[in-house]
Amino acid sequence: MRTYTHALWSLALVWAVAGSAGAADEIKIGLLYPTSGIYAAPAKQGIQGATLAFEEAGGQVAGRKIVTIVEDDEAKPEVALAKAKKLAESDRVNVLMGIIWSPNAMALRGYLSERKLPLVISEAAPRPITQELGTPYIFRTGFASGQLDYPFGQYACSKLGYKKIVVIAFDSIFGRELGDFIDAGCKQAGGAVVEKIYAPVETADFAPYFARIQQANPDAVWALWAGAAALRFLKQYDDFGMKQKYPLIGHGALTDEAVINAAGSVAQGVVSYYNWSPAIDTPENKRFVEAYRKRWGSEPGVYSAGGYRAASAILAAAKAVGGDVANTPKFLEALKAVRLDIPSPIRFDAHQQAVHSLYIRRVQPGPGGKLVNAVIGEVRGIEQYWPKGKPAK
Amino acid sequence: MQLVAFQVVNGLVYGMLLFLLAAGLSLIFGLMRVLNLAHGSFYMLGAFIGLALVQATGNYWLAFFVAPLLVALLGAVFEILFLRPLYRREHGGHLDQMLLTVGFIFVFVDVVRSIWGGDVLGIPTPEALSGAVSIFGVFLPKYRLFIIVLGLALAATLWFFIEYSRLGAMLRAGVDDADMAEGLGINVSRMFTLTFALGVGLAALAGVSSGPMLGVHTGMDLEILIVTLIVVVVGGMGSLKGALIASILIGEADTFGKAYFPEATMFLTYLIMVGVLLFRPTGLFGIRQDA
Repeated sequence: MRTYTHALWSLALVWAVAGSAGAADEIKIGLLYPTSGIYAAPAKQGIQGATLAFEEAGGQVAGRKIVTIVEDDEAKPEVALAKAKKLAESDRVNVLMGIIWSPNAMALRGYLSERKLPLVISEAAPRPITQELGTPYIFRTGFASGQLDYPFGQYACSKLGYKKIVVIAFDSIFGRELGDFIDAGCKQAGGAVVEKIYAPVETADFAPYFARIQQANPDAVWALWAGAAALRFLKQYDDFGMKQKYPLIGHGALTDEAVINAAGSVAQGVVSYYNWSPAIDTPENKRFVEAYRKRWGSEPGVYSAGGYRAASAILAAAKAVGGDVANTPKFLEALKAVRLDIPSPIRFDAHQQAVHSLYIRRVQPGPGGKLVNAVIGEVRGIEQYWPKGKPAK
Repeated sequence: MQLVAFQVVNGLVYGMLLFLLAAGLSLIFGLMRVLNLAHGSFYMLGAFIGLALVQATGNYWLAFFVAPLLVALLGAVFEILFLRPLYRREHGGHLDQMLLTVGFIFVFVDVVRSIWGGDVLGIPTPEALSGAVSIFGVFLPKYRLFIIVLGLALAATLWFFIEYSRLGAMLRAGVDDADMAEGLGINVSRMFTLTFALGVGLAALAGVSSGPMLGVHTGMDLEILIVTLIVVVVGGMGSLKGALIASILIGEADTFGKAYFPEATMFLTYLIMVGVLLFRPTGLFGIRQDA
């Protein structure tokens, strides 16, 4: 009996060792996205984008199988931290990606540095995480807050020729920060933001604010609204005949594909900016859009592109180290050197923040009559914006 | 001056929308003592059913009339199936009713989300009312003027109905003293169902008519519910006149607040509520409550 038990134990041991050896051959990637709640739709897009990238790689890098584990961070920092710990300690992932909700990125920072676990942020935009609070373990393929807004402020007040701008955004740290970045960019180009209106994020009726815009009588109005509020804003802005008097420009969220499709003609002519548009007319982007459509039967959104980009960065770095992602220092070095062209070009700066192209888009009917964000201008090599000046290094 | 006129009209538009909701909520509470916290959900259902009808038929006016009727019917079924069994409970089952209607907020939003998804949707403005008119140099969308006319017309109709019709007299009797009304041979149970259907039908009408202006989305239910509750508290539970005046008051306060003290808009609204509650605890035109 005793021998039998011994044999059984030995067998278990052999199996366990073999099992862990098998695991070491895999590339385990944890996807942290808010798959429930108000960000469920963007999260789904992000995961679909990432999945497409992994599938295009044949589900493997250098003969090592890619295993993905999705966890719901519920857009709550404490949940994100718990789920990151679970992915790191129980699933033993090699790298994390995702994060849409900004506070979650901040919440993970300490733990990831301690655990030495790399994270590639696909969306969350808190600026400090690639600036004064940077760590070797966090990369961002999305943009940092201000990165696109400051140069767009410049663009609006130079190329678009506006000298007086009114900012109208939802009242939050994010909204106010972006308003300031637009102001700073515009000032640099010789214009000025003459009035800043910050309204509650759940504003249903914008009519009262239109009176203030009329009083300020600007050359253009810059707006930041998302989702339902963006739809209402566009509709009401047009209803009141504001669009003819004060051209509307704004953040990419204002003319998100879902919003302009619901809004219809009232969105036509609005100029916005983002680091991507499905309508970018390059072979690389067309390939991405086609592949995404074919795989998921739906149109890719900005979060689809974000998920695809973050996953592609991980894949490229994994390939560079011959699949040995478990060697974290080597993997991090490889990540720094990653350059991507699909769906739009990025590379990393010295602070692990992606350098993007800024796309200026105008809402107009695309082929087939459906409204699209047609690209009317592109500024390449947009680095993250340092409000207090870039540190000398 | 033109800007002030512009704001007055805007405040009136918002006020009329609030009136449609507050009138129903107030009547339901006045008669049935049921605080229908799912009122915003019926507003949302009106908007979504209206949207579905517009998409299916391409005719806004059909949706405008049919969606509220469908929602009223749903309200009647809702009252009979879910609220009626609770009236006989201790203290009239007030807490149970409130919890039930809170529960249905979640049920309705999930049903809507499972059918229409979480995307932002919009009802196109009907052809005849799109565009804007300029009155004394003030630029106003035709659709918004229509909302004002609609609200005032409905206020007049409701007032006439409640003051002069037989059904209205029965309703008033029920509001004043349900037991006595029953003793006089009024079928109070049927009055409850009718009032509930009428109330949520009005909410649905507000939903379908706000669609071309404010859009249609899950979440519109809670956005409107809070303000509606404030309006009902300010106007007085069970008073139609109170609902109308408080709606206009809150609508104007909100609009002027946003334009001139944007940081303190919500504060202004609550200030009015607190002021009214301090000096007239039953609201501006409230009926003295015994409960």
